[in-house]
Amino acid sequence: MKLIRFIGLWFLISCLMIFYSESEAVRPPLKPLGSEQLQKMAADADMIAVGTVISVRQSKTLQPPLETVTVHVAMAPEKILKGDQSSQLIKIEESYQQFFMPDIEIVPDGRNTSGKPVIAHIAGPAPPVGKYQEGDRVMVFLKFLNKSDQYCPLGSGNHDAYLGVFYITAEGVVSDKYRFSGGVAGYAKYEADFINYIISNRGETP
Amino acid sequence: MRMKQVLRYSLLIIFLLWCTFHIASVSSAGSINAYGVESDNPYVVRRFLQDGKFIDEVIVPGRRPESYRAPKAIIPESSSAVGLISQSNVPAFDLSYGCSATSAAMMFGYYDNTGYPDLYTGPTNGGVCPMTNAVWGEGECPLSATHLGLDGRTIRGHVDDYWIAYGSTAPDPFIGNWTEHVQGECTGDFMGTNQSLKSNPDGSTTFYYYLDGSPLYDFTGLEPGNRDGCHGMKLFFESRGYAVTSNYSQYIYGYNGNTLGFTFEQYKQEIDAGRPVLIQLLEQNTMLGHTMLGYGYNETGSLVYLHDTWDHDSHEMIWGGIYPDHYEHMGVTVFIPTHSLVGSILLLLLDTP
Repeated sequence: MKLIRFIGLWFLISCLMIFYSESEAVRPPLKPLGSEQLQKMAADADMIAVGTVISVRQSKTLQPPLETVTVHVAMAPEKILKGDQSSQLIKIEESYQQFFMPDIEIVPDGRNTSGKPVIAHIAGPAPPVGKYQEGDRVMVFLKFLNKSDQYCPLGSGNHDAYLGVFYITAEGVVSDKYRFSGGVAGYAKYEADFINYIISNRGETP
Repeated sequence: MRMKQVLRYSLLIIFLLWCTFHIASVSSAGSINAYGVESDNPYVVRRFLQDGKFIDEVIVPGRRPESYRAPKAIIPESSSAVGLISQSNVPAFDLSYGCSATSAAMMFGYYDNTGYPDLYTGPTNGGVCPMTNAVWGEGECPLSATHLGLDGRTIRGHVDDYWIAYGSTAPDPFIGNWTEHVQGECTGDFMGTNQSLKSNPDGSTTFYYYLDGSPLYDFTGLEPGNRDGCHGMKLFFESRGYAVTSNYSQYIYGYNGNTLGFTFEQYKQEIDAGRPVLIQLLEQNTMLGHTMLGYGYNETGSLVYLHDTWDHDSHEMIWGGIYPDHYEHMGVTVFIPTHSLVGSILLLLLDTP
């Protein structure tokens, strides 16, 4: 009788352990950015800078049915936390591909329109690149491009990577692609705290 | 005698403890996922050996942007100012390979529950579309995108033929490799979602609008290279044996200064008639959008109650406003099915207090 009770208890404990281990296996797609990933980004970056976007230009190259969109950004650095301290102007270049879509189609009569302009809107994922507007204050984690004096943000072009572009706002430092986890979120409330946190985790002395 | 008993129990305890840890370690090392592959990663669909190395074939479904999650709405009781389609009939699905296909699947899941029973005919829930897609796993819904191994499917489906990775513009996997499945059973097939031959990156669907704000009915002007998602909804509905009275996409009144657009009053009329509406949003920086399903309204504050495809909750948005922080409400897609006899009776019963 005691033996049966004992085996029953063992079975219960085993089931609980299996349940626990399987519940851990559930994996959310892109977790909020934690201190470990941020430290890795800081270590991987060739340059980390805080500054103001002074110009944004976009160019497109058509290769039907796709077009390659390249965004050229010039940034005036205020602080360089890692990398070449003498930089007066940081040039950032990002590119992505999309299906070519004329801005406005005028479809001939007879094909269920009256010849009025028709516009297409795509509902879907935004390209995994930074969004820049002149005057924005940003903090960027950059890697060298093969071209001379040009950089690209870490994670650019990859939906599964953390993009190294942060916006400095009145509410603190934010990303428009993901959230920060508890520890990092605390530092991100204030620009100065976030900068000090990066400085202490950048992986080199400037 | 007593010593022998102690020894016997001690040995048994050691053996059982060993068994316990062995089972637990095997389980945590790699549980069997939904595709029958021993992996903790739920998206590994196949594992094969090439050049002496194991290769995992991983399919990652479209996902919600973590930073965009909106707070849950508190839906008030129905009143003269509040109009709602019964929430017990409007499914809330999380993103299944494209927001527009998912939103259309929620709409058709509702119609499946209200008089159009052949829209979902799979083995789950006795062939009646369930109220969430949790039963199929996060990011999976056969009414939005069919998938080999999902919901009893034994042949390739939408995901197998068209999906590579979130945002991918590469040619679809079936091209040059195997014969495309016969389109059917899911909204994504007909709406052109994820299909490179319809110029849609993975996770995307295209909708067309008149610039002047007037309604664009069932647009087919750029077929076969481009598919209007609204036209695809009609094709799906018809493929299930039902007729459509009208389907159109339209800018909302005032968007880009138009004076012919769809109004909040018209939206209320659709809801009062028991018809959910697709809510179309656009992000001004990227000109890329998002689709959600509106199923209710509140005149106080001009609120729209909706399912946003990012979770199973109800949310709210001000008509013509920003959701949740930088998508601008730009348009609607209206779908009016021809009443079935069963549907008419059901709607009458639902309207009866």
